Amino acid sequence: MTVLKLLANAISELDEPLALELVKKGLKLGISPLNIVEECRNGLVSVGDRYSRGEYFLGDLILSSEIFSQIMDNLNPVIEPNKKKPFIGKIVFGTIEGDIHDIGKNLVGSLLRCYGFEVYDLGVDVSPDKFIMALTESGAPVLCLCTLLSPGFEAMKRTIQLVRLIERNMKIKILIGGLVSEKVREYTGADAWVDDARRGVDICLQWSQELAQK
Amino acid sequence: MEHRVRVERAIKRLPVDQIPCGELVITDELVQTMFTQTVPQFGHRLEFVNAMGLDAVCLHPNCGYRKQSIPCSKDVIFSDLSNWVKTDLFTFAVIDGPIGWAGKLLGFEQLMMQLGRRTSDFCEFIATIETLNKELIERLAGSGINGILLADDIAYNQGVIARPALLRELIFPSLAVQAEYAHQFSLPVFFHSDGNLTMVLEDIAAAGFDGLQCIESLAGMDIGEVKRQYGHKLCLWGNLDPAELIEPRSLQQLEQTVKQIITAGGNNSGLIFGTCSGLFENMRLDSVQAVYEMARRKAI
Repeated sequence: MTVLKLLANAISELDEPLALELVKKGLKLGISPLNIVEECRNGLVSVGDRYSRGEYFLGDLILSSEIFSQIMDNLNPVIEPNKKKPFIGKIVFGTIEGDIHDIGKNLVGSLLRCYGFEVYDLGVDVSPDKFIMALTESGAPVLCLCTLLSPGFEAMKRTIQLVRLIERNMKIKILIGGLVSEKVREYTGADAWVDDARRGVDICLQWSQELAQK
Repeated sequence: MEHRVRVERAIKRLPVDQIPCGELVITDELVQTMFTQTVPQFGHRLEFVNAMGLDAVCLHPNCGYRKQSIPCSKDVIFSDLSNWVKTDLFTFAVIDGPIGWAGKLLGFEQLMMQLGRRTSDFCEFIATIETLNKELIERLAGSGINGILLADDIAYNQGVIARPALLRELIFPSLAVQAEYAHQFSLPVFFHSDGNLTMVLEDIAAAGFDGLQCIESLAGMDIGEVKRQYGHKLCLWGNLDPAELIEPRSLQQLEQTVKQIITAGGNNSGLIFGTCSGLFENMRLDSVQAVYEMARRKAI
């Protein structure tokens, strides 16, 4: 197996020391850093697939992203400065007013950061005006709201109505998560809903690609 | 039957005269809705608990210490402990486990990475929490507490946060030591975690816990299935979805929900009735009172 294939496999197996060693070896062999990055992505995709199949757990997803991050730290000196850190986009995130559940928010927030998003985590029990302030200050085009309480849908709707008022010509994409459904999405006016962390990341990645193409 | 005796018997999975009721949390804001005073005191809280007809209360530690570091056990204060233990209620003290403490002190991502890497720092951290909790348990036992609730959120609505094998290797052994230590003082110990614990139920039972609190229905926890598999080892506590007490519900609807939980959860043996979340200010007091009354009547 080539160094690159072994690298993807090491990431897929979450073998951190081996992955880092293979990166060093690959560089010594003169393999292009960008090819190394590409193979890392294949490893990460494999981890994601294993998570989707229930073979891996949330902690494994976070660890795989951390391995990737360390590999990038090793590659940074040899990659052009403007390709140093993958930056996907900005996201404002929080649990809506009246709800203090944070585990789902933390999970998705962590994953989003791992995938290169700059996440403005406002915490729990966040009032609509604080979301507006954060969106305005950060210029983030994506807002993620979560709640695990059904009375939270009202606060969610209020927040989204306020966002729609201030967004003007820049349509802010809004993702809701937690104890939500298509019915809640329709009621609140959000753009999408998720009850799965990985799916949340996928949607944000898709939106970022769409925004980048505009 | 006294409240305390009723809970003790339920924990031992012995028959009880009526299903005991208890809550993990009761916010002062909810207590306040029953009184005009601005700051609820112990007397108000006790009156609230009695008005609801609860048999068990949970005492939480105050943050009388710096949140950036693991406190000394002497700095962890349980408010009104001396007053609560004088009542005839069954008193649980809530203490956090290693995952809970790591989440607070290290942040979620660091917790997940250190756990995943099995770092020596994290192993030391677990040992430090174990020592802290053993000191707390000893002190609480001397103060007259009746039981310990070891709270460690190791799961979310889709399952456990880390591989069960990892939890089995690093977390459950420490939890088992803490449970065993509490048993040395004749204190029963419940485990609390939100989320779907299906993959680690066997580990929870094997760690020596006397009961499981929460059993979050929205996370897919089926109290009937837990009872069927582990009812001979664990007393079950919780399972009522808080939305039932927040949303408008008819008495018939509430009765149906209570009946389902009680029937599946063990009727008069090994069950403590309550919500999986605790009681919060946005709940309807009449619904809260009604469900406890229905649970007590049992003849639904």
